[in-house]
Amino acid sequence: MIGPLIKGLSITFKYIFKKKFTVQYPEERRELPPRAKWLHILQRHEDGTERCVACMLCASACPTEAIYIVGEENDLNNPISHGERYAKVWDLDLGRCMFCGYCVEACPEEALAMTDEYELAVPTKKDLVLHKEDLLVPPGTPPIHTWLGFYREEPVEASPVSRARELHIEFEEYLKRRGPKEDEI
Amino acid sequence: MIRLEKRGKDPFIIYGREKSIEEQLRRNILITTVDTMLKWSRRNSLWPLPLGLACCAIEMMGAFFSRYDMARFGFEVFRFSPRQADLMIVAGTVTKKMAPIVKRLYDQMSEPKWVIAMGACAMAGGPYNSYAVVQGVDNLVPVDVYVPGCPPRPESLIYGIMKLREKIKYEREAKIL
Repeated sequence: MIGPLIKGLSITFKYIFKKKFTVQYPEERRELPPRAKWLHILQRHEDGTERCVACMLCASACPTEAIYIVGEENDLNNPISHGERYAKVWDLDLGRCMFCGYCVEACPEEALAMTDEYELAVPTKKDLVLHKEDLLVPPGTPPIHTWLGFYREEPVEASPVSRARELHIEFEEYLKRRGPKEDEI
Repeated sequence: MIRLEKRGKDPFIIYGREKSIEEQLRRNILITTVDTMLKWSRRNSLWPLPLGLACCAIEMMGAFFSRYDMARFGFEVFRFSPRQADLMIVAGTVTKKMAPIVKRLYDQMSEPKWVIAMGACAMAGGPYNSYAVVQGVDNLVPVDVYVPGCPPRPESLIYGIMKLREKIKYEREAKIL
């Protein structure tokens, strides 16, 4: 009877000297993977203008219709974005969002990105809707490259105009460099 | 009362002060209100009723086991009986078939009681905008904290419960029923 008891308790005893398994959460955090998909941000160009041009691609890509955009024509003397339009309203409903990242994939301007900010609990349902003011980063924040971000080796330089066309050319070049896949032949 | 005397060159050392009754009282007796006491005890021993209805329940279990040990905060035990629970964690899709059961479980809990809506489905229906799903558990029961995510990380849930603790701390008055 004593033998199995000692045998069993020895396993328990061994764990005293092992490294603690529990993460002491509020003080100590686990490092998330670099592609962790949590709270969205709206990015800016280096000159401080907004990247979003209100093309509505993210809103139409969203499977749960969580994004609501109202676009408006840019004032040419004092433009807010680099495109023809800018997002006057950019609302994200966290009550619907399922953090799939389709909006980020759809964005041609690298305006949307996802961060590792996961502490999102709010006390009222009204606070679940995040507005443009909550999501827009302050000017001078280092950009997060999302579009084809997994393939790109070199850092992207700043461009004076919309990068959509340039990125497209870059993607074509990448396809040439990679060569056709077996299933595409 | 012992007379306070000032001796020596150091003005900060006041002899005889430690022995005075006032000082002894000040050091050994805590004075507080019943409300503060109740709120303190309630927010440090929230026993949750797990209402795992879908995949969010897996993350809820993850928050309670040894990696993110929620017993560190006193959210000690899962109580599967609603009569012994303070906090209902609605984790997952509330279908219309499940709705009366959720309501009944909430009614069976003893006062005071709090509700956390965990995950997109419980908060507002999430991706299921359909005839079969209740669009947010706040249509059935009053919700105190919403935890976004699909599903939220265990840390997010713990953060939500910390928010609830703050909410209980700054309540205007403790509910006595």
